[in-house]
Amino acid sequence: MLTDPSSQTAEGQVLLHAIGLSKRYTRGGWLARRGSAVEALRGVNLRIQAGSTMALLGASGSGKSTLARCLACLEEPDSGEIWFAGKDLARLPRRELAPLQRQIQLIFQEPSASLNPRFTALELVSEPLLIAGRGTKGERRARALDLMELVGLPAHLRNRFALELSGGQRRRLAIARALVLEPKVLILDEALTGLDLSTRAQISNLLLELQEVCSLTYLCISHDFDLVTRLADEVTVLDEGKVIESGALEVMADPHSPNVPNATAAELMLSSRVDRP
Amino acid sequence: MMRFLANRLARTAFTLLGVSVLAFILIDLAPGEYFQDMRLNPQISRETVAALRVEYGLDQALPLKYARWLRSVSRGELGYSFAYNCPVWPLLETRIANTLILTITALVCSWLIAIPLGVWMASRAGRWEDRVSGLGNTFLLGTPDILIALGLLAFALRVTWLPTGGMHAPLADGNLNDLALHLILPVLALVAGMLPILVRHVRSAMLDVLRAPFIAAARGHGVPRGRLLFGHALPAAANPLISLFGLSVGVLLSGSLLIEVVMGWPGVGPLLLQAILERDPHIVVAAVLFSTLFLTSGSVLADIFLYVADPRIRVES
Repeated sequence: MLTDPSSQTAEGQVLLHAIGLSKRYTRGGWLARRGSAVEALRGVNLRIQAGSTMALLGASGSGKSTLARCLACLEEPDSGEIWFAGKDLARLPRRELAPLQRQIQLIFQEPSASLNPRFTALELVSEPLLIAGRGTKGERRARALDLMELVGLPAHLRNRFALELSGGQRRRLAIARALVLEPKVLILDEALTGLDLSTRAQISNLLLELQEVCSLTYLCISHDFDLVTRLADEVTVLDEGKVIESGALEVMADPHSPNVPNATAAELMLSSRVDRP
Repeated sequence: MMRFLANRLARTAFTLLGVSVLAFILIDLAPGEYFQDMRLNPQISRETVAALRVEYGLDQALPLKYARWLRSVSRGELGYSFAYNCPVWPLLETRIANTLILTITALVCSWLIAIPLGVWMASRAGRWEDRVSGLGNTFLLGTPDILIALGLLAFALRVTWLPTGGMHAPLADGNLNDLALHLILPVLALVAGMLPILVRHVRSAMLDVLRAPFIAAARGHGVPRGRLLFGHALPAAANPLISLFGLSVGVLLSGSLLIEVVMGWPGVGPLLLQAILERDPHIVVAAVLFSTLFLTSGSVLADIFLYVADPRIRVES
């Protein structure tokens, strides 16, 4: 009998708790040799406190994006548990999973690829409401425009397609679309990669503001130490599908494992930490 | 848009002119002519054959023959048939209509089957349903059209209620049910020839799109499977398919010319075959021009569909 391991801890309520997550991908087609597989996740444990920001670090191919997709219920783990709102998402039937899945939204690495090129900005933001059967057409439109305004997208952009927007505007649009169903957890998979410094600062400020306004919990995957130090409360480091380090941000200055990114970089990262507003 | 259409129409006119010149040159280079067989007939004198050649302009140089044909085109006759002894257009008019009925029906049926089948196969990619469908597809692709047509004819002979040729039963001219019944076999033959190509392209285009992050993002928002496949993925996969639609118009026409001959459909195919065998040049040129016009119309239609379907093209233009 499984029980919800999420509980009130000394630090606060655990909102999302992954236990022993494993995921393996088989290479090639049906004629491929047996045993030709990649272990993307190997027994990953992760606890994210409500209202906090967890940074997920690791080299390319370490399993960060796979973990993000498993937590967002876009991939089914081979084994393990994902506890959220008192339920194990990894074992829920599709019908029961849908409303919970909407509360964990993933913002992808490349927003221009994650926004349907055939939809206008307004359609993109309001579509999740239509799918969820919320409100009339007018109400959905009003809600979408409100959200666009909240993330700093002027209303006159509502009929623009994603390709007509700048990189920063696309990130804002992806954030607005993710927020429209009022999720509790936002997973940012390299969400600020490829932006210039000024836009990156604007979007990270926006994320901090939204965290306060919407009581959001973030899982932030990034290679950008500045962003991690600015947003994160805790850090988890993945290597070859396994968690090799986890804890408060300061842990990076004194890594227990030799696989943690080099100490100099970690010190630099800490020295550049700014006080959060 | 209007400028684009005017540009495409001008290009089509130039293409038709070029194709007509090429067709005239190739027909002129081919050995033999319509009156060659008459020379072998001892009852027809050499003088009579020579007079006929002069009358039909066959003694003239190629540019003069072409100019004579162009004058006939300007009168709306599209040349003169030596075999039927009448202008070409009245001969071609009803046959073009018959060919269009067959080709357009086959085109619509092919796409109506190919789109849902290709989308379904892509959504089941790698599973046994996809593999079994893929095998069936490969089998159809490897079977020659003529074999499919002959197999269908053999089937029709066994079941007896399916007509094995023609477009109407005797005394049933104009009856739509009768026409639909006569369409079944040739349309099936054409669809069986075209379907595997279309299904492969739809499946492949959909597979590419189904791997795109915006599909995963839509799944994350709880977009249901049907809407995800047909509302999100299919429109995004449409561009290569629309271009293929333009090509399929031409491919189906060339396929239909063969099927018409095998199944006795009174279209352009049997007339063209007869004209080639009898060396009736103006009918051949007119039939080739009709094919070119049909092919370029498919291409123009595809461009218009692309313009309407893809906001990026509208934005860029």
